[in-house]
Amino acid sequence: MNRGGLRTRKKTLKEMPFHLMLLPAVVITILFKYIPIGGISIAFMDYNPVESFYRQEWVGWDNFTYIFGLPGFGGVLWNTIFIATMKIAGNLIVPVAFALLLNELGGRVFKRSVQTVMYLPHFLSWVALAGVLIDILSPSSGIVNNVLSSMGIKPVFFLGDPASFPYTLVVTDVWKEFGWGTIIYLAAITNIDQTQYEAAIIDGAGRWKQTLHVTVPALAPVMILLTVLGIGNVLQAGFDQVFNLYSPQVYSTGDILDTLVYRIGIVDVQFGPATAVGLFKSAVSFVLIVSGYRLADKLAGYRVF
Amino acid sequence: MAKKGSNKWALLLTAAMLASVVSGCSGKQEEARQSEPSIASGEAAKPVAGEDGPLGKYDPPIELSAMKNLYGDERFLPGEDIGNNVWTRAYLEELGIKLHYDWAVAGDGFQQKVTMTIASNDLPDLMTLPAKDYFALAKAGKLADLTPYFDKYASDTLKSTLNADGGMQLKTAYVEGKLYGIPQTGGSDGTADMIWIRADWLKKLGLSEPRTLDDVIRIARAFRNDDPDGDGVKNTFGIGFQKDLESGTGSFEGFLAAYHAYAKAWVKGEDGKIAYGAVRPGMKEALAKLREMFKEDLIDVEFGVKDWKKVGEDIASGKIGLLYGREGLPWGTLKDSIVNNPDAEWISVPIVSADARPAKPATHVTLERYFAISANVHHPEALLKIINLFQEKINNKSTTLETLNKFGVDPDSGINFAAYAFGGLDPSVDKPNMYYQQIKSVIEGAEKRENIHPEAIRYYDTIKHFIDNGRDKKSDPLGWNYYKFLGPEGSWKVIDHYRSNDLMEHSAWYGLPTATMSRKGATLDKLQAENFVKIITGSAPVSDFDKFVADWHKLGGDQITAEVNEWYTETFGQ
Amino acid sequence: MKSSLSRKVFVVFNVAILAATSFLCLVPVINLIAVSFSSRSVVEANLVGLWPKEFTLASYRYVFDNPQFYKSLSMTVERVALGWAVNIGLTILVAYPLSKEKNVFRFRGVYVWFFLVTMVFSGGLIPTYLVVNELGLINSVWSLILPEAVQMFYVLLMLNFFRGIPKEIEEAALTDGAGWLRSLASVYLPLSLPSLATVTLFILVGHWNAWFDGLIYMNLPDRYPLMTYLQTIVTNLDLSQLGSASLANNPSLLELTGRSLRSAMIFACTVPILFVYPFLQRFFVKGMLLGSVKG
Repeated sequence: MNRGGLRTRKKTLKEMPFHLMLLPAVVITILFKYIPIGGISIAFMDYNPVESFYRQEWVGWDNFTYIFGLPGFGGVLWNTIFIATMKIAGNLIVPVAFALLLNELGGRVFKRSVQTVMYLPHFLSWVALAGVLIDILSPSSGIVNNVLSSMGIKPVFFLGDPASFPYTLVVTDVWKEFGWGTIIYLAAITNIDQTQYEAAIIDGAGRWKQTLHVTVPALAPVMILLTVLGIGNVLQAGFDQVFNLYSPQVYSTGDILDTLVYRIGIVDVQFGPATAVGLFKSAVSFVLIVSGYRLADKLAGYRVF
Repeated sequence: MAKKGSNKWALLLTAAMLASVVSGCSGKQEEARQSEPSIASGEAAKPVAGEDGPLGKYDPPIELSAMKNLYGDERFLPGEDIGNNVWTRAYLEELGIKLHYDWAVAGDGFQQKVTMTIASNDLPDLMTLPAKDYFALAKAGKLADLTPYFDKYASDTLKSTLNADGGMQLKTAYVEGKLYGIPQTGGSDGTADMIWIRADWLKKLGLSEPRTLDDVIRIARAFRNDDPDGDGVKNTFGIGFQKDLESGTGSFEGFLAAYHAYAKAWVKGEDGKIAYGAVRPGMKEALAKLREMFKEDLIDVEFGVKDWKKVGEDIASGKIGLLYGREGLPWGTLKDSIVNNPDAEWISVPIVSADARPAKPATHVTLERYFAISANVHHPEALLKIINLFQEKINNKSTTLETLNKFGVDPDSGINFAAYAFGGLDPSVDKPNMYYQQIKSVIEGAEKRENIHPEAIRYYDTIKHFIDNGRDKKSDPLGWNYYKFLGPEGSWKVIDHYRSNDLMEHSAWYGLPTATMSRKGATLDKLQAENFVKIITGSAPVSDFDKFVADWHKLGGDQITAEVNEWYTETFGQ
Repeated sequence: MKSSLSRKVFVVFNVAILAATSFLCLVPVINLIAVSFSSRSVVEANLVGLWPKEFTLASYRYVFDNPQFYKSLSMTVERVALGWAVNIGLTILVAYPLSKEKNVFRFRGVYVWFFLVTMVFSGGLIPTYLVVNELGLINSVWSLILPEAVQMFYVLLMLNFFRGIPKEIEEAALTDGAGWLRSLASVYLPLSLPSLATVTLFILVGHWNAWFDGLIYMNLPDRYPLMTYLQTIVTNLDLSQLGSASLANNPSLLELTGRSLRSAMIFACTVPILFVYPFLQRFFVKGMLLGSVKG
């Protein structure tokens, strides 16, 4: 046995604990993820649950051509991407900003109260929020428009005007989720090695410089991770929110993939087309996540996973 | 054209009454109970003995598994649950059937759970099935053929419940000439729109009830501009509409009917052909009129984003005093309105026409579920027996108050026992039609109180109590509720008027989505909703309607129309 | 250190911005609470703002009188406790090996992609149900835990946090003769309390809020977790479509449609989980690494 082989064997032995640690997760993932993953083939079937899985009618790409060929599909796809992209951006930037602001707060009680209060909206459902938003955003009696008109701005029909509807979606979604999003960053901030700040202070850095040169770089890995995963959501515009807030008046800018599939399912439950849309979304998401991963590696030199 | 998930919850039996009403006038209740025994001990449909009849008992008992949809609000007596209650005991004691539930699920989860059960091939013996799954399983041979058993085992009460509409709903259950299940029937008269108006506002502004569409618009104008609530602020709307074309509160359907057009109904024409109501010629005029009204500020500028709940808030807070809606409004929104403001006086009147032809409101049959039994069960007739039992306890003409309390809603606990039954179904013509007539004749002295249906007696007592106490809404909002529902000025009076003058447009299609509907229905629905709201709010010209009609036909409407006609001929003959 | 004028101005603005934002986040919650304590009719007329009108406890009485609430609460507690244990355990066990560089663990790439694929692609509900059914887990609390036991998002978070821990600390432990597992337990975990607290929060909230799996995998409402029970009750019941005959017979349906009751339900079902974050905040302490490196 040569030395190289010995080294390899030694290495294999040394790595053994890693494999064992991973084993339970691997078993569970195979059972509950990889075995069912065959269900993706429903996207190519005229699926009828009455028949066994092996006796379904194969229809090739029919379900895809059906969905992509629906009148207005292009517009719906564009709406989805537009809304989702703005949400991804908002939900990345705003939480970081607030995490940094919170980090500058002095009083512990005040700081913790603010943190807790900010994450409350995450727990409210869109069903419950829709009614409140219609009131607050009303062009005639809503408080937002009252404020705007006192500043001399003409009332905006936030939920009924196709031009402003997508932005309304983005702003309300960011408002609902930003507090929840700050949690990760706050945790990352507490993980920062305090000696780095001490070193920066010795170098004469003020609070602003410390933030810029210590805190932000330390948050970079998490930010990059969330960005890479975030761009995978470019076809997830948020069904619950849109469904509870949209109306025929704003279909032209507010109808998204998921609401379209939902309405198709209302007329008649169709497993094939619904799975096809799911697969399409997954494939796009996967490609984007992988590209994002490569890009981050290239540009920032950081592999997020 | 999607069948609205309307009567999703409506199965609910038909038995008893509101518990709080009872507590409100419990004295009367006692009285009613005591005057009952003559009927109670009478011939309350004692089942035929022996195994061979609609209510024959199995000896030894047989065991059946079942699945069931729930409403989410089920409450039980201590120690009881869905598998152990007055109904399961009755199945065992009276029919010799030991029934246990494999699963029972509430709300929207039902369809999902049914799909999973079918996909995993774990079908229980007794099934409650959504329409599509019923037909799929019947065609796959998984359901027992009931055709040979129906005549012998369906009780007379069940037959009359199913045949109240001439058997139209029952006919939908046949698959290639064979009966594999019993549809969960129910009435459709209650889906007719009527006009609800604040009579106190009319009186204040010196207006009278509307007879024509012009009257309606005149009233809307006055309600918007002449400060009907007298607070000196222009904060009332002319007429209440909401974002969906078809809804029970602030509905467009009743307005469109003035032009003999319908947003969602399938109308049988004089040529015997069925056509979609939204592409009828009157629709263009109707939309143009709505557009005028919107421009004149008679309609809330925000109607396009408000659903029925938001419009309900405007009604309850006294901002809306005129709207199209259904018979059930006194139960929710309108009651909130009179509780908040006892001066509010709501009346319901028939819808009106824009021309000399009378307007007919559309009505919709909702057939969502079928009851069936597995092909593997040796006693397919057991399904019919179980359904019979519900009919005997609840719908039989000679049922007693005592039975209703035990198997329907218990007045003391307020528990709705009927919701635990398997295979509960209502007559295919609404019972309130009969109750309205009976209560009216007792009030007019033409009939004796004790001769009418026990359920009607309960309603009568509440209404009488309300009238005798000077119709005081403030102290007895529930009495008002019943008065506006089945009383001499109730919403069923309007429906009675529709019925006796043949003024209802029964939507002709209520089958499964046809092939083209499945593929293109969602697209057409979106096209319609988007076009209509744009025309009404003025962001598209009225002439776009013609384009919509052309598109509708082209994008699948023609095929769907052909399929609907085919379904109709196949199901009902000519 | 003396703070400059600009710093003072910043602090004032910062406090103002955060206070205003907090207020915006608090308003709908206060409204929800006010509604839950108000009588039905004023609520349905949309007359309740930030303070209850016609104060009543009726909605809460309805919620707390129903034995189902307590059954569901105990079910939720069970799933959250078991679910947390399984999730956090697997997250740590997966994240640790994967946080190693390729030269330390050669197969990390294979594993990463193995898990990552399942994060994006899913076979859908029906095949997953069939597996759960085949394993006999239907109606068992494990059906709510095992299918989503490996959460790649938590793993990636944890992995990135682990990487932030200076390698020198572990190397010191390893040269002392500790194995990987010892190193994980004695070096990484104690240093990762803030990240563990974060992932714990996500897990607890995730399990608490999950409702759909309960609806699908549980056979009877008796076994519904709290949020599933809430969902079946709060489902958008279209009162306007209901016939009077149904309402006359099902008085409770009418009550259920009230926003007051729904708000009380939402509030009662959400409050317990809201306390988790303030509790976990004690683990968000700065300077943990500092101490350990020096020590």
